[in-house]
Amino acid sequence: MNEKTMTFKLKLENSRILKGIVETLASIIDETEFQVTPKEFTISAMDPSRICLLKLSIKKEDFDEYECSKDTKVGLNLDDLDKILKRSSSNDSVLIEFNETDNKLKIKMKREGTARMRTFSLALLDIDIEEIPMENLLNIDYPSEFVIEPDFLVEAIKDAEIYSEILNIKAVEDQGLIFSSIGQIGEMEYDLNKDDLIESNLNDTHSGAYSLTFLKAILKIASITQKLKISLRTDHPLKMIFNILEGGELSYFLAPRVEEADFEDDDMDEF
Amino acid sequence: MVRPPTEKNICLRCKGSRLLCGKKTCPILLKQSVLKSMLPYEFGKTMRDVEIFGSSPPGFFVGRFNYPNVNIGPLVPFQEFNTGIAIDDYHVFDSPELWFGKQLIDVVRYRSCLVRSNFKINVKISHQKTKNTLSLKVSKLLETSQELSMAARPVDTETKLEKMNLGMMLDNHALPVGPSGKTEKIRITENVKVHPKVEYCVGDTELKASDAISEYLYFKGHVPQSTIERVFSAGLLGEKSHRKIVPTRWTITAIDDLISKRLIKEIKKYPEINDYRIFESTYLDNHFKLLLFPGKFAFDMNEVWAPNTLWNTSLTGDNRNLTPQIMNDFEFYSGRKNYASNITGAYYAARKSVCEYLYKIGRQARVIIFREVSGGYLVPLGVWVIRETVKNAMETSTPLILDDFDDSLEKMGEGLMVNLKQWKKKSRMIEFIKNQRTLDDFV
Repeated sequence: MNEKTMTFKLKLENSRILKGIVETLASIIDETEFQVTPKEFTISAMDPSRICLLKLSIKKEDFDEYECSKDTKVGLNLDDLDKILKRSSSNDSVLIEFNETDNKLKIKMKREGTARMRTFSLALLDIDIEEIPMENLLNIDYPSEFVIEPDFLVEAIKDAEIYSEILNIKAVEDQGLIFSSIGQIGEMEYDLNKDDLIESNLNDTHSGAYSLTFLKAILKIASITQKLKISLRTDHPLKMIFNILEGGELSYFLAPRVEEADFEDDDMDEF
Repeated sequence: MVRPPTEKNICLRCKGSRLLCGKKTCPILLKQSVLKSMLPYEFGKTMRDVEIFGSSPPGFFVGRFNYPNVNIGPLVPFQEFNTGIAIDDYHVFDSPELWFGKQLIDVVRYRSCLVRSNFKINVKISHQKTKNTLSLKVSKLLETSQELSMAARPVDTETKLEKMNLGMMLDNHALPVGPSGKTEKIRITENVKVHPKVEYCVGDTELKASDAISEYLYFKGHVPQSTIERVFSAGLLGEKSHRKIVPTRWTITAIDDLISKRLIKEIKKYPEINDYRIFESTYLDNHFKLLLFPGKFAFDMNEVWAPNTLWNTSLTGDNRNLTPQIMNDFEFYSGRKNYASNITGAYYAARKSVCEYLYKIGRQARVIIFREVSGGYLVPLGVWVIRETVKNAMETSTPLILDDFDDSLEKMGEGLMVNLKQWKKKSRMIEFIKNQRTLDDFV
């Protein structure tokens, strides 16, 4: 065979980014695949109830070292990877190596300015990952799109949690954005006018209700992202694209909650 | 627990004669009448200088009041009580796993003949400081109690009580406990037989309690749950320095939780069931309906105490104004992080039985439980009622098989006092399924 064996080598000078992302992914799904192509590195994860979907992609240029000759997929346990990465401190560099012949992922950590090297290996899993139908989601046409600081969303999530399990998001043309939540004890509203939005393209009024249980997953990555692009369309999945600090992006889709009409029927039956 | 406001002093005004509470029989009277029919003396009286010898089931009770300085004591049957049970079968007294199908009166009788011979102790028995301050008398009592709690069969035991209070303590989680008194000395008069796995776990002081319980005692040893509870409660499991006495009420939930968590870990590896199954069982006026349906493991439990039952009473007997109080607790695939405080111990007991079934059939599923408690459940007997009834439903009844969620819910609502609409409103899982879209709807 002239074809080279499947192998790749990725290096990041700072482990913080990968650590944050793997932690977030691990809270959503147990096992996933690393997909490495000569151009980019991606991880996708859909939660078992098929309500939210995360996809991380980091381009070759954003790595400090990147070697990959051929499309490669490796299955692994995210919890275990998370435990390994947690052993690194923030100024450690991380090198991830894979060689088809030994069927293991090697994670090497090295502290800045020292020669000490720690090597962890992680057994790979033979997993059968269902093809995630990303294309159709990407083709949804969103009439309202805006870019905000990720911290605003974090605040809104934490505020809403006081009242209920649901965060309502509403974007109004020419006005801005409203996050709100209603519960038994009261309600909250978080208004962002147009000046608070870094960029915006709002058409008509679009709103959606989204489960906080799933939104909370992204709290951990807010600190490693700088811009957040949100796309909104009534009764459609919420689409968010985070720009990661040192390059790369994380896309997040969350299916909406839709109140069923007959369900809200409030007449009390005779007991 | 949330319950509708009730006027105080209702029982004082009634004194068991007018049944203002609306129950079929007065629970307080029942306690007395059962004891009266059983005992040669009156309920609420005390006896002095009682010598007790009998075959302990074995039984062992740890109170939760005044924690961490709690009362603990082995349970020994009083020879003067007519138990109506052969001595060889005394283990039944403390083994609720054998009680399914028994009448309320039987259960009360089993428990009322066991005398709790108490002594006070600080729970931190392995703590160096506590250890040094234990008097010789207390450490001897503790040692004997621990030995007794490990026993696999009834053990001949002697004790002497200065004063014996003829009461009965009822609890929502723990089994009822009968008369009690302070003891100075307990003696075991025969060799104690211990299950080999129990002996192993007690002897291994580097084995974590959670591993000992789920891996060794439950999976490998098939040790009865009541035995695991006793050994754990007596402070005999876990790493040496962490061992402590655990109040019985807390023990029961802890064990249900540990075992079911371990089972859930396995269940999550199994394929999903592919149909909708409804199970049903009723015992002691506890009516259970369970729905298992396709999806990743998730558990949702709802219970209602019908108006005019134990914890949901109306003063006037006019139950038109009482609305059913449905309580709900749930967990999705990722599990719970806090205590199921609405349903409390019953949640964990039911979850354990459901998980045992799923483990047995090698499948995972989403689970919705409706529990309806009606008038005949006069006194709380402990969560074993829930654990065993759910187990009975899963093991013996033939499930109703359906293929649609809405139809299944309709069937779930049949035969219940509370209208399905109310359940739908309260169940977090039903609400979630009805309102939460999945990404599949958009691709």
